[in-house]
Amino acid sequence: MQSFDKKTDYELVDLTIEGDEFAFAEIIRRYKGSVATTAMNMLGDVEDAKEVGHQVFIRFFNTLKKYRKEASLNTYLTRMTINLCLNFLKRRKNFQNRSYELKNAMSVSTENGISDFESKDVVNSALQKLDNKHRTVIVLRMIKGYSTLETADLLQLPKGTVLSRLKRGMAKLKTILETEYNYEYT
Amino acid sequence: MNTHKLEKQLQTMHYTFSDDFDRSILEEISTMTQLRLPSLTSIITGLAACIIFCLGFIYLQDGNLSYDSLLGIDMLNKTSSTELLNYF
Repeated sequence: MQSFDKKTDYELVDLTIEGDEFAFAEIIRRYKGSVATTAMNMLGDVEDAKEVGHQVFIRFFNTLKKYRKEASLNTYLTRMTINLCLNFLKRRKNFQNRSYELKNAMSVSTENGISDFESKDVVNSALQKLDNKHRTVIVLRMIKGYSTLETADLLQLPKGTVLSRLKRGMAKLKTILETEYNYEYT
Repeated sequence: MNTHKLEKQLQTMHYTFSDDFDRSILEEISTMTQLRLPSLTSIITGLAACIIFCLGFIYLQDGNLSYDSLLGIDMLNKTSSTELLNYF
């Protein structure tokens, strides 16, 4: 098996089109973290995130020839993940009512101080209480680290809308964490 | 509103999938490609069978295989010009 470490994303895509499955395995290895981060923060559930992540890579494989290499592969997969997550959320009407095992995380966070792992769970739970539009902007801008302009381009929104959604979303998230999870942000 | 601490916390919200995830996708892809290949081979086999059947049919009808017999103008060669003139 040849080494794919030094191959560019575009080379890996070309090799996959030629039928090299190992090249596609390398694409998955490189971007599963990025897809997992987007899906997990958008959906708040490991199994749901896995399901969407699975769909992302299978759909990408089936439409490889349509990938025009204009956007970076990471951005392309992130856009695909966001779209599939939003579709997934539409299908699940009861999504906002899920508690996502909050009780355990809450009791630990209020009593003993918060470890990274627990804090991650609590912040993720709070994220799930936001509207889809606010959560999407926070995931892309604050968690994935895209610039405001890149976020606007990804979501096909005006820059001003992204900024206002970000400001409102962050304020809501902070309020949720402070009132419902006793976090202190002073 | 000070969201600096929250921003820092959000930057740590990274996840990844286990190795099983890679494996399940690659397994599904190899199943998909295996399913596609027989359909392609069956099309090629079907086409080849059709061509052989047609050639056999022509050979049985005309007793030989030539370009003329394939084009269906085998009998035309044997028709003399006087015969053709008699048509008119």
